Amino acid sequence: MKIVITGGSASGKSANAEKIICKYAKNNLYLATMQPFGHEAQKRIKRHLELRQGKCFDTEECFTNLAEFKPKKQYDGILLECVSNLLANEMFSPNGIGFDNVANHILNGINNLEKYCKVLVIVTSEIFSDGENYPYETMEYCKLLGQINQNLFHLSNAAAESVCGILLPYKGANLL
Amino acid sequence: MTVLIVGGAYQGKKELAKKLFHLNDNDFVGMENKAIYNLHEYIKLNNITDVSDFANSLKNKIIICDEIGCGVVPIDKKLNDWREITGRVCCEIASFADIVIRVTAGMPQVIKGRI
Repeated sequence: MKIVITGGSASGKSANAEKIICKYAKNNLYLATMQPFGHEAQKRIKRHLELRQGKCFDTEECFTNLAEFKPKKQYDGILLECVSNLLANEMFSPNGIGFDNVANHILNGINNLEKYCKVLVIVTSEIFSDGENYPYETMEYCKLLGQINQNLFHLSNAAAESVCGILLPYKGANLL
Repeated sequence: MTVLIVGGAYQGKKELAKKLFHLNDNDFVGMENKAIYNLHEYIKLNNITDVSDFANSLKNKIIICDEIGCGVVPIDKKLNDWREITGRVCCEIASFADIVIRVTAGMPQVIKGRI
């Protein structure tokens, strides 16, 4: 089963995603994608670690090439956080695949994760509503994340947006 | 009763609040009144040291705040912090609010409680 949670910055996406996965699974992997560079990233990682404390999650990291990722064991649930970081890593970091075929690369990676769990909860982001014009690379990033999100929603059993910590379902509300 | 009204800019949040809760423009003046307009602007101009304390200080009010977190993450740290704190404050208010409404093009979507 695949569940996708989206939302803007600080909208309670992670807390909701954790709540959902804990409902289904006891033996969970938190798969982090944020590269721990800089003070801001460290701060975010620390906040998320605190959120997960005592909630029976193993933690592993995967920054690029999710299709080749193999967890140390089989899990009931995997929580992937988050697609927007993963895409940025693939597009802009030295180890990433670059711009070509990156959307498929990430979707293949997500298919790969499904082999290792019964419930996959995926966190992604809403970054599409500021009406700004950015340089080509950023616009391309937005476009690709939009495409990936459309694919994920389409292929998921349930999908919802977190708004002020409240889940607004788009599909599969009974599963959330 | 605590009410949180969120949505993008220029979506008719204030007009809706006036209609639903029988408010007039004077009710929105300052931070001590029964209604608060543009909470995100207040957060931008003031240093919020504790999200929970600040949110709790807004209990029993009708609070209007723009949703500002649905864009590309700003490179500027101050702008990024502003988005982050505004989002966290709204999550906190929503957790104890009786009613949360999201407004799009003047249309209310009641996402918590009942009106």
